Order: sequence, then C-alpha cells, then structure tokens
Amino acid sequence: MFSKVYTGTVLGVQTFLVCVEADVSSGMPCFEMVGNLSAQVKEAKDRVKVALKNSLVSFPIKRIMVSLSPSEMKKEGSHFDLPIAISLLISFGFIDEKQIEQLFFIGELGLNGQLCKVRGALALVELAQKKGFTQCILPKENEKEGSFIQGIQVIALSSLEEVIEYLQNKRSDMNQAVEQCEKKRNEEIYFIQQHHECDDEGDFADIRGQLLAKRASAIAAAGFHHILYIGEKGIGKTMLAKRLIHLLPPLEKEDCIEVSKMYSICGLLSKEKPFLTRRPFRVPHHTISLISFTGGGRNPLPGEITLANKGILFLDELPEFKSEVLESLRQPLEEKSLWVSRLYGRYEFPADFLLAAAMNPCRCGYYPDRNRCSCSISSIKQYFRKLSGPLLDRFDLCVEMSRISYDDLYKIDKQYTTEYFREQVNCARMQQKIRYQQENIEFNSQLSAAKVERYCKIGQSERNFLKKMFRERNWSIRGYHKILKVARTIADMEKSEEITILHLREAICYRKLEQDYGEIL
Amino acid sequence: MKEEKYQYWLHTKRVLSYQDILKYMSLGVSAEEFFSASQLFLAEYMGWKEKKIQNFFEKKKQWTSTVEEYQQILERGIKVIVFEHKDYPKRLKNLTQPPLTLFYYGNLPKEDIPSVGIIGSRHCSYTGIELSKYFGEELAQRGIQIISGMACGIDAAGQKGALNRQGYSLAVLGCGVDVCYPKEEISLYHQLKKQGGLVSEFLPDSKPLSWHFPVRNRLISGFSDCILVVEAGEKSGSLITVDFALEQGKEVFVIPGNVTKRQNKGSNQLLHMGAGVALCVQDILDYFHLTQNIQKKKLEKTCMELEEQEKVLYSNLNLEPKHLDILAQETGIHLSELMVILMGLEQKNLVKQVSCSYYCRKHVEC
Repeated sequence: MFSKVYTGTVLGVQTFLVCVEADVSSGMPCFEMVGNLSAQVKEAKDRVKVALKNSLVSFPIKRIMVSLSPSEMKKEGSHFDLPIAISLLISFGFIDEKQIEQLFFIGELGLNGQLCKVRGALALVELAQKKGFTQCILPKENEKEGSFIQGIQVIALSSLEEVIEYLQNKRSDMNQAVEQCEKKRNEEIYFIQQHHECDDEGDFADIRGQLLAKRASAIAAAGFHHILYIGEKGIGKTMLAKRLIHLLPPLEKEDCIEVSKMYSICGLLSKEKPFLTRRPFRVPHHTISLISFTGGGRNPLPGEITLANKGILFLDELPEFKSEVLESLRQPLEEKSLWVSRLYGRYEFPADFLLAAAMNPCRCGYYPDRNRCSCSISSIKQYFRKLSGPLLDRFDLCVEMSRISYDDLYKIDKQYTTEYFREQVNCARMQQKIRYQQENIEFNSQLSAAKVERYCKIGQSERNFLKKMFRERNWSIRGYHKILKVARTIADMEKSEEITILHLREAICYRKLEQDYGEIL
Repeated sequence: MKEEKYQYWLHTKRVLSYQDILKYMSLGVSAEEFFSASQLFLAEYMGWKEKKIQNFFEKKKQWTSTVEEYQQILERGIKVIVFEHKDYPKRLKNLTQPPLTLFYYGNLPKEDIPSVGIIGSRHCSYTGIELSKYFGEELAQRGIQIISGMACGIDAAGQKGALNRQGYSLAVLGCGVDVCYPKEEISLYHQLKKQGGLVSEFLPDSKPLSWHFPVRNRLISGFSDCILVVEAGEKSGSLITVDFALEQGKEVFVIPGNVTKRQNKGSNQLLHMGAGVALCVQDILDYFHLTQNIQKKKLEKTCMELEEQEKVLYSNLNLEPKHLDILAQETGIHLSELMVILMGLEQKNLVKQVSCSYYCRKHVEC
C-alpha cells in the first residue's frame, strides 16, 4: 500500500518541505530507501526497523520501498525517523491515512521507540505553519521550542507508541487543546522575557572614567553603528563592549523567531532556553577558523556572523584574528548577508549585526604617549597595517580610551550610568521609529546610499563645511555617508530634527582612520 | 669623458688606499696615464712592492665591466662626482677621509650659501617633531640649506619643514642613492629628488647596512656649517654626528628639553658639555648674522581673536597629544561641545587631531 507523510529538511538556514512516501508490495523481501539521502538519513533505516519492532509492530516480509521527495534536494538531519516510521505504519495498515491529514512530523527514534530531541525544530515548525499544516508532532524535548510559533498546534510526545495511540484515537476536542496550548505558551514567553530582563551583567558606571568611549558606545547603540575601541591593556574595552548590548532595544517578535531559528538549526537551543528573546552577543576567540566564522561545512551551517544577526559581534584583539577571517567581514558588513555556494545549491545567510572591536594601539599598548611607548614608528604602522584599509573604513566610530589616575579608580560615577545612556538611546530610537515607518529598516546605519540623501538632509552652510572637509581629509564616499548617518544619530539623541554643523563636527571627530596610524606629520 | 671613467675605476674598485690616493694626486698625472703606468713607474714613484703591483694589474682586468657599470649608473640618472673634479664640494675636501666618489640626485648644496644640519633621534616626542619642523621651516625661509639623514623622526621632520617653504634640503643616505631607506619616507625621498638633493658615498644598490650610518654621519656634519641637535636620547646615533662636527671644528647648537623625559637625555648632556644653546631660531641665525622674518605676529593675532572657550581649550593644549577625556576634565567643558570647539580650532589651523581621540597644538611658539 502507498502512503504519504509530510516533514521538512534544513539546507543552510532555509527549510524545505519533504514528502516521505512508502510502498509495500509483494516481491523479494527488502527494505530500501531512496531520495538523495545523506549518510545520517540512511542510518534511519535500521533505527526505524528496530524501533518499530520494540513498539510491538511486526515487520511484514514484503518488498518495502521508501522515497523522500523531492529527490533533487539533499536530505540532512536525524529527524526523518518518525515520518518514515509513520509512513511505514500507514503502509502496513496500522494507521489510517485520514488520521494524518494536515499533520507534520519530526523526530528521531531511539532503538526502544523513544522519541528523541532534534535540531532545527523551531525552523521546521515555522515551515509547517507557513505551508498550512495545523498540527505538528515532535519530541517532548523540543516542545517549548516549537510552541514559540503561533498558528500551529504543537503536539509533543515521548515515544512512538504514544504517537500511534494519539493517531489512532485522535481526540475531537482539538480546539480546546489549541486554546490551552496558546495560553500556556504566552505565559511561558512572558516568564522567559522577564527572566532575561533581570539578567543584568553590569552597569556603565562600573567602568571608571572613559566618558568619550561611553558616549561613543551610546551613539553606536542608538544608530546600530560599528565601533572600534583602541586602548592599552586592561583599560575596560571588553567591559564596555559587553555593556553595549544593554543599550540596544529589545527584539521584535519576528526578529525573535528569525534569530531563534538560527540557533535552533545550530542546535544551540536548550530546555532552559528554548528560544531567544534578547539580542545575541557573540564573542568569537581570535583563533577562530574561517568556516566557523562565516559558516559553511559540507552541509552549510551558520557561523558566528549569522549567530550574531540582529545582535553584536564583538572581536576582541582585532589584529590577532587571521586576515582571511577579517577580510571575510567585508561583504556582510555592506550587504548584511553572506552567500555560501556548494555543489548542490547557494545559501544566503543573514548577517545584520553591530560590529564592535577592540585592539591595542601598538605592541606595548601605550601609543600615542611617546614617553611610555617604546615601539618604533615602523612597528606601529605595521601593527595597524594588519587591518586592511577597507576594513577600517567600515567602522563608523573609532574611539581611544584614556589613561585614568589612581584617584579616578575610586570615584563612583553617579551620573553616567546605563540608565543615563539608555534614555538618550531610547530618545534616538523613537525618532528613528517614526522616521522609518514606511521603510523596511530600523536604524540610521541601515540607510542605503540613495536613502541617505533623503533622510539626512543638510543646509547650505553645512554642505559648504562638508565640502571643505571632504577635500582636506580625502574621504571615501562610504566614509562621507557614514559621517552623515552618525550625525543623524547624534541629532536624534538630542531630539533635533535638523542636522547642524555641531552634529557633523562631532561625527567627524569619531572618524580618524583615513590617515595612517602612526603618521605624525 | 674618458678621464672620469678612469677616475671612477680608481676610486670605486679599491685600487688605491687613501694614502696612495694622496700620493698619486701629488704626482700630477691623469688617471688615464696612471692606468697605463708600467711596473717600474709604480715601484719608483708609488713605492709599491711586487705583490701590490700584481694586485694592481689584476684589478685592471675589471676595466671593461667597470666602464659598463659606470655607463649604466649614468643612464639611470644618477650623477657621479669624483674627488679630483673641480665641482667637488669644498666643504668635504677638508675632511680627514673625504669620500672619493659621490653619487647624487638633484643638486649638491651651494658653496656660498649657509647650511645647517638638523639631527636628532628617531625615537622622539611629538614636541621634538614639531620643533624640528619649525626650525627647518624658519631657517629655510631665510634661505639656509638644511642637511640631514632622512631618518624617521627628527631628520625627516626638519627636511619636510625646509621643503614646505620651498627651501633646499640635502639628505645624506647610508645606502645606495637609488635605495630609499627608511621606506616610510618614500614621499620625502621623491620630493628631495625634485626640490633638493640626495647624496651617498656608497655604490648604487647598496643596502642600508648598520656600519654605513656612523660613516655617513661624518658627511652630514661635513656638508653643514653648523649642527642643530633637536632632541637626542642617551644612545642616539646623532651624538656620533656631533663628535664628527666637533672634530671638523663645526659649531653645535642644542635645543634644551624637559629634563624628566628620556628623549632629551642625550641632547641635555651636550649642553652640559658646553654646546651652544638654541632657544629660538634667531640663536642660529645669529651665527650667520641674519635676522628672522617674523611670522609670529600672525599667530598671536589669531590667538587674540579666539572666543573665551576656545582660549581656555587652547591654553590647556600643548605640543604633546592629550586625550579628550583629560581635556574635558581640565576645562570642565562637556564632551560633545569640546569636540565642536576643537574642530573650530582645527579649522583655524591652531590645533590638530593626532589620532581618534588625541589632540595637540600645531604651532611652536618660542
């Protein structure tokens, strides 16, 4: 008998519908599976056979053929066990075809018939919802993750036997179940959000002094601008970057799902944290490889830059990263996404993150204080040359940290706390929200070159001033637009509708990377 | 000219030792004649033994390749001048061991115009750089030729200062004249080729070996009428140049520096030992009986016309870079306002942004 069961597969960061077809006919007894299967999926054959046996389902001695379509698409993942088992059960006659209408199945089977956790549950449930399925059966451990998606009922079960029982005696009071499910999910989300909000990791006042760097951080958070911190060792660069995440606004619901999907595909979600409601903060170590950074592998998995999507990617000790890793940042910083090509397809990974980086000014760390800096001019230039010009050009803000005195260490800053900066950032956020109502963007930094002209209008005197500076400082067009965007953010923070020369001047101060570092004359 | 080729061969192929050169010159024969000299002649007039004569004849075999070499050098645009030439720099003729051949681009310093050597450490402070540039500018303004070694730091700053005022500057290199060392100063190198001069006693393509530098330092002091040490550390190479200058009987001027900073230890020590003090450009000009074109008034006027907050900020800045946070603390002005005022001062050419968050004054006032 022929049967058809629906499930999905994850390729790169996208999900595709997969149909599991099974047929039982007379002939030489065998069990074959076809459909462009990866080695992982091929193993399902043995698992399903034993799981069925242990669930007291006898395997008929017939010719069994299972096909996963569409066969042009590579099938990856361990979640095909359950749909294969169900399709076999239908073919054997244990379950009626009608029982599985509008149902989507995912789950790995243990040898005893237990339903085990799978990767990418969130993404697959979202796929099911989009394709119009009303219910999704998945393992118990993936319940919270799957429940995050609205518009589809998630039925979490713990063994194949339970699934069979459920399908055979499908309760008619489904609507009630759906309502209860929704209520429970909303409570869960609220609880988790609260829990995350209270998870405070420190205040801006913890960092002594560094007013300039704090102000620059506030501007970076307000407009989602990329920022580079330069300073000697132990001065608070990493601390500052970590506090930057507290200034960013909370994630919108759609973004929560998108971000959680990535983490789900990478298998980074857990029972305690079934989905993300806060912006991610990724800190890859500087020995990271190119593939782990950008994403890739035979079956492309997202890398650090995709996991930092909608959040902050913090690169500590920037010159220590491999140059190929740093150069791979260029495209994502501009286009907010990355394309990974493989033999059987091209995958687009989103990469819309705020790049924060920290570095020392030179080997000893004391430049430009020539009294303490023992580096020669050539070694300073060489140190900075590790970062290519085009990469440095992509930072909107660059700020150096100053040395503080011993007395400053014990000065408790009551004024410049996280709350103080958050107020300014929220003010800027409101302005941006109103301005970009009709557009598909959230922050000033996301303005394309064409839109910069429209939204960052400047008066004639400002234009003349910029013309003069453009000539003197030799800016690139990208640099020029970045200055306008940063000036727009600074004006927003001060609730100013217009961009004045004062805002432009401050924005220009944060950009001194065109010149060779170490160039004195 | 054929004679020059023979001279080139004699000098660059180490045919003659220094004493022998003097002997040969006193004989009054041309280089061509000397080349074709017989064994008897050499034994009698030069007092050479058998072995040395054999060596001489061996070196004669290199004649054709030397001529080729010489031609190639000229084709590359490098000018060659030998000791015997009438245009050989007079200042160098009196050295104990003058260079027998000089390779140069551009022009050599004029004999009748005063020249000052500006030297100092490579590892110097911002103040040193600014002072060197300032002195280079002001001296060049009065037509004085600036001699230096094109090293990073003080040397390069002084030379750039001179070129800024369309003056003449000569760089004496410790490598072949066609090799740019240090390579960071490549733009200065090209400017000097056009506007000033580049000279070396080493063969073209010679690498900048460490022993070349003390040797070339004698030429820096050789070309200069007096030396100005802007800033020197305890073990600076510029102190070697001072030794040569004293040997050559040249006056040495030193700019006093902050006694607590290690960059000034060497130069302050020279003052201790009796070097001339240079508190301002006029001190050097006095040596040549010249007066300074006073540009100071313009700077003073600009400073007078500053607004209140700009004055406060300007007075808190000096030649050493200061961080914005420190300035904010010292002046009490809010950060964003501070940045705006600093930009204004930058526009008025009084202040410059050294790096992202550090600012310093632009002009020297002394």
